[in-house]
Amino acid sequence: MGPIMRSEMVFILLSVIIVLSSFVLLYSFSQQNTTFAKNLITTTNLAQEGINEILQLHDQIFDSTIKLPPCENILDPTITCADFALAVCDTGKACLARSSATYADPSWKIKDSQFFRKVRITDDKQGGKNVTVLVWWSDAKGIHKSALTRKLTKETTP
Amino acid sequence: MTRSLFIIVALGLSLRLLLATVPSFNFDMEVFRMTANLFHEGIRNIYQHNPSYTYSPAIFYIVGTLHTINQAFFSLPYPTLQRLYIIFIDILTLLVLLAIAKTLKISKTRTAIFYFFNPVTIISSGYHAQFDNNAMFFLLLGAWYFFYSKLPLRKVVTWSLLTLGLLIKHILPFQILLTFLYMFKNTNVLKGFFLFTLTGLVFLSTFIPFYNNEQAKFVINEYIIGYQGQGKISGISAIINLICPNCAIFGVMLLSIYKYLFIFCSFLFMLFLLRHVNLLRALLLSILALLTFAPNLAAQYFVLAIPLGALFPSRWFFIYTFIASIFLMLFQLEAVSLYVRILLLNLVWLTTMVWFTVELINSYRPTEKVKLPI
Repeated sequence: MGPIMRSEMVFILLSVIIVLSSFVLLYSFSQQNTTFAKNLITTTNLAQEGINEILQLHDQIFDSTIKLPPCENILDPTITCADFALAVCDTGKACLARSSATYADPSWKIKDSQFFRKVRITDDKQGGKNVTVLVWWSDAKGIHKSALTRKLTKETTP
Repeated sequence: MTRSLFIIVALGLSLRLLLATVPSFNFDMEVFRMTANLFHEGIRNIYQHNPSYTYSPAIFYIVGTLHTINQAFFSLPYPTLQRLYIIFIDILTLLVLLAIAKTLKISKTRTAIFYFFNPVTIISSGYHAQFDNNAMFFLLLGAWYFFYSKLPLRKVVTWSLLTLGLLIKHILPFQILLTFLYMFKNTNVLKGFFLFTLTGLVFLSTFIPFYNNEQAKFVINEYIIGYQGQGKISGISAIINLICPNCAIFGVMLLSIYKYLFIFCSFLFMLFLLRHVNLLRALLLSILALLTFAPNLAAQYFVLAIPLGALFPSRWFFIYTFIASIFLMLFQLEAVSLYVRILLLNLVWLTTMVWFTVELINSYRPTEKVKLPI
């Protein structure tokens, strides 16, 4: 192995400068990025919370009066599908509420937060239901979302 | 290990470890973190339960295993753990590159500096920690094993290594096919196609356990096998999006048509390379072609050109290195205007295009018979 030449030393020096600058910048601005990451974690938690609530609503999901037209892209909150909101019903318990077809239905907004949540239910071929909970927020860069899905069968228990 | 190589590895490793401590991380890392947690909770069909997960089943098991080991022994933040794994793969890649450099009588010090001390690989592994370097490692290891080592069972081992690389990250299918074709260039290239078909079937078969409900089928078909990228802000996809975002021919979107055209032309380009260019140069050219003409560019792809570029450094390799590293440094920062970041991304793309063109002119041997393996 030969000695390190001058041009290679220049490359090493420039690399060190770039990497150390990256470290300083990424560390300094990590607070901002952490906001984004925290939001993502919050959306995931809200989606998980939604799934847990959905498991309590088993009978309502298998209610034969709920009609489920096909959903073009189940993971895109901007596409209108047969969407539901998780609401509090007259009984005081959680229930599914059919939302209007507009994109920014206020019933999807989670109170006192910047997050929206809606529920999509599709039939699967074995007679069960796939329930997807979409949670999202938007900022200057667009829409950011988390989605979690659970397969429910008629026999599913919470 | 000589002193200079030891210093390069120690310093390169230190810089990577320094970046690995940064608490912030990107969106993909959040998806990996969620995936690791779901694995720990016993979820086995990740495509059904986390539709943001658009990677291979192999990565699901890797992140799950990393998380399990971490829970048992280390309790590190998940992003740091994944970064350490990716840094480990960087070290293995360096060893393969040094072995190739030794055979080709290329300076090992220079190769080590241009690969392991490259800001693109340092930032990609130390901070972004994507799995693309896994694909590159197995490709290089497979090529080294077959063409440069004198170890036994070369065909079987090389096929296994290249297949493993595809199973982890299916970003380099053309380069895997190209390597198979070179393996049988002087006998029967059809055997190369056969091996690639086998690799493809193994890759597809890994999805079978997951392919059992509509949700998982949708994610696998659209986002993993269909490569349905989200961004249209760079490269050819940005141009198509600017000129005619909703154009369709016979009901097929222009971008989809371009995707199929890209696959077809990549195939023709491989046959051209097989005839006129040596293996490692051909792999470098095919990677540069991927970065230049792929319908969608992602920041993590930039690391793919570095290992082979480090073996054959040129002026455009250095220009690419510095523009790509500036982009990798800035694109995660919300403080930097989105327009600046898009501009930088496209600057990297344009640099890659020039590097590809210059490299193609320099590597092309119109009449001279190409000598294997270099």
